[in-house]
Amino acid sequence: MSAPRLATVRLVAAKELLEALRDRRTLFVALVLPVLLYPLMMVAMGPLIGRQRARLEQEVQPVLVTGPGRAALVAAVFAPSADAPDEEPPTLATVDGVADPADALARGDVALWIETGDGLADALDGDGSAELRVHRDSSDDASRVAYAKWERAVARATERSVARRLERHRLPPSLLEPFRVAEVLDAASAEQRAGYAFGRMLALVLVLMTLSSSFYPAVDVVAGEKERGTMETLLVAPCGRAELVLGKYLAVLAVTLTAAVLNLFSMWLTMGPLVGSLGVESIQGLSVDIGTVGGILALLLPLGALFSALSIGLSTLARSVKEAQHYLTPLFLLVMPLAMVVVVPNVELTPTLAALPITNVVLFFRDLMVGKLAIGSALLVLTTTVAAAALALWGTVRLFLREETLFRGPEGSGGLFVRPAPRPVPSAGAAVLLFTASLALIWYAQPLLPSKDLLANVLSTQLLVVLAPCLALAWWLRAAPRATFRLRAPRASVLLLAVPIGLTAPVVNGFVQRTLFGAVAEEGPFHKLAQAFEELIRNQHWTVLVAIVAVLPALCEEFVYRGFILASFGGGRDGRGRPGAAAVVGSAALFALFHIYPEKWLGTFLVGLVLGLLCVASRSLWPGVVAHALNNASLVLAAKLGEGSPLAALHDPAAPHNRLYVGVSAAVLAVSVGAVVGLHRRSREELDDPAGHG
Amino acid sequence: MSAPPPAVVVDGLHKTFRAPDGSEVRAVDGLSFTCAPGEIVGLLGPNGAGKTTALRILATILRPTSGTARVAGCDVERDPDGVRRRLGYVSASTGVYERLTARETLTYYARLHGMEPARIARRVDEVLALLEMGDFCDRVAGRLSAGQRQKVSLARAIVHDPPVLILDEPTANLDVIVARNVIEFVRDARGAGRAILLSTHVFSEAEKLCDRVVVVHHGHELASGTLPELYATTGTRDLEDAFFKLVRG
Repeated sequence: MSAPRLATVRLVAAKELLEALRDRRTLFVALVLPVLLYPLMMVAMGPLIGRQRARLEQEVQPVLVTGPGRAALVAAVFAPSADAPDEEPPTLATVDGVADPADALARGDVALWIETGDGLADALDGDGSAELRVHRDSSDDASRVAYAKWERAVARATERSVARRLERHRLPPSLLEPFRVAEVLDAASAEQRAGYAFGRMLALVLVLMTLSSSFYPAVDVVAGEKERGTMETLLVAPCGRAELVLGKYLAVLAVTLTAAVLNLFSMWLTMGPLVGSLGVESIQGLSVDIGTVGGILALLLPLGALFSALSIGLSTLARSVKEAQHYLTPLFLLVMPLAMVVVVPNVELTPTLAALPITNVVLFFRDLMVGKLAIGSALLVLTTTVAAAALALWGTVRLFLREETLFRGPEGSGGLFVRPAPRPVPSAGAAVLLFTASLALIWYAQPLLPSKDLLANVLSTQLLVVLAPCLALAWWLRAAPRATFRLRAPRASVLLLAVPIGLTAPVVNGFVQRTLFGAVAEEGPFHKLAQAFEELIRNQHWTVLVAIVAVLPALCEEFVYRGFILASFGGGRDGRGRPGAAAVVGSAALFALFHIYPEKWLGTFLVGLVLGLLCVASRSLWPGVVAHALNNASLVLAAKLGEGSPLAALHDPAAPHNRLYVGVSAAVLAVSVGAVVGLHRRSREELDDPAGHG
Repeated sequence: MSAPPPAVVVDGLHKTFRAPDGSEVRAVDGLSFTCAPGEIVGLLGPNGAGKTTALRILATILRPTSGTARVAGCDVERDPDGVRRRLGYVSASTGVYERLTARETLTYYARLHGMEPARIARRVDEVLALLEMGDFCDRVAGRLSAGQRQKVSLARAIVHDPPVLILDEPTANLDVIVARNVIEFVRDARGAGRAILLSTHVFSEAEKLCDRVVVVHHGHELASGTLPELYATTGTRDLEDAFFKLVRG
């Protein structure tokens, strides 16, 4: 393919822009919405909430006071005080004669109910203390406001009472005030305070607005062309497909960036001059200075480029505008959690987070608005976003060049409930579906599974959550069981090598884990789980443990991860392919993620790699099952036999010679894995060259 | 006088798709035919016979699995840009840019074809006059009738004056009056010396237009020749009877 010609790219971009500008929907989302949104959000919503609050403050809420101390409490707290005539009594009205106070509170007839006991008047007159019982409804606005007023009023009454007692005993007021805070000074400037209050929300809104303003034009320029029947004729024009997609990309990018700039301008205008002129007190002092605007703009460029590329990619996959619009929700589901990180308190823009797309952008915006963005982080965020945008654009161009995606057949007419035609192994999409479904099942089915009995829990989780969905899906998809689950006799040599691998892998893995992450934290959900397992291991016979905690999970998980998922990832478009390195890595990654706790991820990933290799090299599931079961069994038995046993010495860093055992294990593991790789290479050569060399 | 060399040469064309279930579908299975300048060749066959796929390969939208196809001397695989420059293409599903006027659409395509800017305005006016589009050429296509839109489509296909036209069921979904316009357009194009490949499953249309037909079924040729030749070999007197006789073997 020759390099794209700039003139053609420009021609396509100009035509797409002209069309976009004549489209009311694009104009509304990209140009009108941002201009309206910020004034609405800031000027209308802010004061509206403030005014409602103020109204609740001014309104009088009914408070029920019951019990023998009623009169004394009302006089001390709710009535004007003779000691402090300047102080306003709380805007609360005391009521009585309510038959069922609890019911009245629940129905909202009274906002608070205060029960008094005996001797309240005496306590107030003397130096005593009387108990009160306060009933409130924290789910009701009026009750919340009444409670706040009550707290302030009772605090003032307490102060007055204490002052009287001190005076009576001739004690100085400072007796009860060893510290007196004279003044609290805020280091933050007005801009920083405003940035802190509104920066998170504005960062989030800005990112989401940029996404939505890229999506609609992107849907129009590719899926829209397919749907209206203009794509085919465009492809017959004498220009490269890369030129077409780049031209379309530039047009979408132009709309996105225009929208982003308008968003920013509208935000700046709303928060600066507009707010000032309105004189609304609650958002006074809010302003975004021009440097901040420039910084945001600098990052909006690559962010818009990233979103435009993602949107065009999805639009290319779709056959119609409707289908493309269905992709918007998953895209938002992907972007939202990454962007929502900004509202989580105490999240710093660390180097790791600075490399996480979207999240790094919202944190960049937030920090910029409070004037606390470090130049190093800023550059890292910019670089990552540019790289992500370039990657997304590359992927989108590749997608556009494939005739399969440009000319996908009609949408599956069978729907969800018609079984698809048989194929040797399921598609990669089916593998992702199975994985997502089993994660969801863990979440939703866990309350239904036995929770007290860990053994029964392991048994039911493995059979019902891990194995059953996998077998059911394979049956539904009419996948060939032999090919999908590799139910072939293994090569004897690889099966033999599975034994040393299964025995040494946990030793090496444990060492790596300890070296990299230290001992398991003494708290948290993972620690609790580990403790539960220790107890289980103490209480059960070793045969039961080996069968249910070691062998059964090995069997079930191998069926799913080295069977269904590895085969699906490696099957290619027609389901006939052989799994390669990418399939092994992909299945190992899902295997790791399935183990939920981040503490386990690295270890299970490495084990998953080795198991995948065994499976691919032997063309059978069984060596993986053997190694996996041995891996589990040696850990379980080491724990069962306890300190002092030779098996435990392999895993216990405090045991004598542990380093030596780890070293020997690592050597055995390396040699065994090397041997498996060698056998695999040789068998592939034989396959590629069936004549062989002897 | 010898016949002019063919403008379209298709030789042993195959195209295999993979269905979503992984099975192989042979959409085009060894098709060969030619089409000379000033000749209309009809590809005749039921839906799913492989006509559209074959024409899409000729238009360089799809790539052949094997076999060769040449348009005005250019190979579809080795010189797709050369093919595209010498080709006008319209299919039943071809639409128009709803938010552009006819003049804008024609100008856009003329520029995509790399025509000299000085020539473009004159050529666009010429095509607009040829298809009698003067009344509506400056209205956006979204506000045009079905017939007017079809004219935009046809005008777009000839704006760069291609020697070869590929028309994939150009009258499908059109009412009789508009279909009539299309038929006249095709005849005029033949008069102008273009080589025209036309696919259809409307027998009367083929009888009216085609100099030769190729009967396609399950991706391969059942018979080909002029209409009288076809009637003679099948012992029938109209195209419909001839077709069914061929298809039923």
